[in-house]
Amino acid sequence: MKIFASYSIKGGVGKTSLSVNLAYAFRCAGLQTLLVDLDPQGAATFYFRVGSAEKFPLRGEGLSVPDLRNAIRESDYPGLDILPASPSYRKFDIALDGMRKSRKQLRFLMNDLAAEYDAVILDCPPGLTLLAENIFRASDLLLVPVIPTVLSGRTLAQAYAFFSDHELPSEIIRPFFSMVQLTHRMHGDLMAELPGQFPAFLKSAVPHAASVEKMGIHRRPIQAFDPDCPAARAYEALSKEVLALRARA
Amino acid sequence: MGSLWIDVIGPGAMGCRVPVEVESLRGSLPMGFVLKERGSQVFSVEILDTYSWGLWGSGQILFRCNASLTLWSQGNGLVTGQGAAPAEGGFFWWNLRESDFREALGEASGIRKIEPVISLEIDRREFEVSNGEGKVVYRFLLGTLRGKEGSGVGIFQGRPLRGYVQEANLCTKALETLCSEETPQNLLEGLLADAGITPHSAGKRPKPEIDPGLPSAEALCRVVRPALELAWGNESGIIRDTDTEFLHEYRVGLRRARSALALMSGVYANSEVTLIREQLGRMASATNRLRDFDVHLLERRNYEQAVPSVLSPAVRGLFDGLAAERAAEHARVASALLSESHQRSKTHISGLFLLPGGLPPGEEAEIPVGVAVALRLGRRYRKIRKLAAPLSFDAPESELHALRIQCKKLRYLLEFFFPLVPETSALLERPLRRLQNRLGALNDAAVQREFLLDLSRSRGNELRSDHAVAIGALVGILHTRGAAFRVGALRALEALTTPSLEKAVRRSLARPTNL
Repeated sequence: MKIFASYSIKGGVGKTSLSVNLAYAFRCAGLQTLLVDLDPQGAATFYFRVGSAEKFPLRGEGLSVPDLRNAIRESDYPGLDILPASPSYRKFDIALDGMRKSRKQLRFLMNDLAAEYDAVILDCPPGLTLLAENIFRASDLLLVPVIPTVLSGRTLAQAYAFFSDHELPSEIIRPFFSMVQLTHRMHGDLMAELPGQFPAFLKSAVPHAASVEKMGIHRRPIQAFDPDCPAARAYEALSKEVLALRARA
Repeated sequence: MGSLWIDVIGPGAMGCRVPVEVESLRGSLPMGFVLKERGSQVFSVEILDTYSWGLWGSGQILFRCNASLTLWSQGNGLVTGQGAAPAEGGFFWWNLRESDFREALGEASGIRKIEPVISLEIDRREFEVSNGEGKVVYRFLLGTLRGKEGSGVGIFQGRPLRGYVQEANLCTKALETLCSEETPQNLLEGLLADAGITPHSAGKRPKPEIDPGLPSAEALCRVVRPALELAWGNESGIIRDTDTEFLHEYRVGLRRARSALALMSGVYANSEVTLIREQLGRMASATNRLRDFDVHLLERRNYEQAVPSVLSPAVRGLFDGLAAERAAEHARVASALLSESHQRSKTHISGLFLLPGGLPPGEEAEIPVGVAVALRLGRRYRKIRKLAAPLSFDAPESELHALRIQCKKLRYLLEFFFPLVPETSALLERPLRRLQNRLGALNDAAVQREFLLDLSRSRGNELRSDHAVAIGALVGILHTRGAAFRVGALRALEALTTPSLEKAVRRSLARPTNL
């Protein structure tokens, strides 16, 4: 089992779109996939028409594996399950803080699912919290959507700095360009500049597209309702690139 | 390997009424739930098995859809193996590509041909139920299986989605009206029955129920009747000629009936028994030549591999010729089996064993069978020991053959009347089987050798020179093989006739069970 996190310090960069469409693509590639919606907003859960999870008992000696398993829901697409968002996630950091080995709790939980899934995708909330550090320690790859803007570039640099300060393996960070509008000159300039600064950038880039916003209307992954649109093709290419990295790993 | 159809009978499948009326279900679903048909497909599927239902007997059913085989476990409804096969007709397990699946088929089918038993049409319809959010919460399959006869059977397969237990319960309750308690296995059996097919009928060896106090005449009737049924049950298979085992079992049935009558001589009037045995003997010997051909042709692969490659074409040619002769011989046997006189003989003989009293009693008719069998077993075993004592490695084949016949008689006695002498049976079964296997192999080698020599003599100058060389090579191989079996047989004979075993057998026979 490999764990892929869709993560960014910054909000509104396309993390949930990535999680939803990557999970769907993995499932289409024959991988038994679990999408874990860690964001209390529950957007990924909403896209799959799944109700939110019962409140997890977050207090105590550790996060409960049986509760976690009970909360898993099968999506409409065989081979893809969802661990829905829970209102309890609001208190995730407080709960983790009270636990022993508080930075590795998520890894322990995910290890218990290893026999059931080939791939787990974590849809992460923005921020650089204790939950984020759990995510860094649990993930095999950290996929970071980067809008080609100055602020996005800055938050990417902050993530690398955090990894360096906490002696985390920065090679797991794989940024890619998201919500790209090549009609904006700045997007073009930064897409030429940032990979020089951060060589781990993936080749695939996802365009800014109305179809991504329409996911909220259809409540399905883009590939499931408009498989030929540029964004759907971009996510497919991205998933192939990520799977190739996984194979090499 | 496309086998989408198999999930219709997967774990948890249940029978349902036919025809399936899905439309009526919509109203019975909980408020806000929506039923949608996702698609349907029709598959043509065959069930395959050996003539003796070896796969069915081992708890499995083999299906073929196009050229794809699926082995299905009757116990848990799981697929236990898959592989590719010829798209139509029968095949042997060794015709398949090497794989674990092939080995599994080999175990269950042995030397028997795997053949289509029945063709089915499977109509597979897939449904899903969504909740008020439009989220799928329950799926189910409805399959209709039809043979050529009858209205077919329905199968329901519910597929709750993970995390939607409550919704699944609601749906299952609504769909309950469709279902029955039947399992897919029962339904398949029903389909076979509709087509007039009963698994196990052809290959089942009879096991009569006998207790030691039963008068011998009645007990013997219970042994002979199923033996005759075994023989008659294989006749249609011989005529169809789909597997050589039909003939083998036919001959076994006849031999068992004849042997039982001979072994229990004195139970019925001797004059009648002699007549019946002669009739049965004629029926068996009418198939001798066909069986000889079969024995040879079954060994064909081994023969082709045993000779130097330079002789392979000649051996192939020789066997092609034998196969053509066998076809003519089979036509003769089939026509004899279909003849009115044969049918009349069968009806007459069967009638004699329908009820005790069908035959005039002999002087031992009323003796309790437990006593009669114990006496005969002791006599047979002593006779074998006597025949075995002077035998050495270079004993003439006729003496070994006589020993084999005695062993066969002893084995039949034990088989027919096993429940009466469990202790003796336990003592003798293994050493006797080992000896018989070796003597049987020795005899087969001798018979095959003689058959080939006869063939070369009967053809005289017409025999092609390369075929003559091939026969020479094969006779040599059979001779060497026979010598090896002879050593094994003599060792097995020693084990069967040790003084300690003799003492134990004598003791066991001194107290026949429950008398």
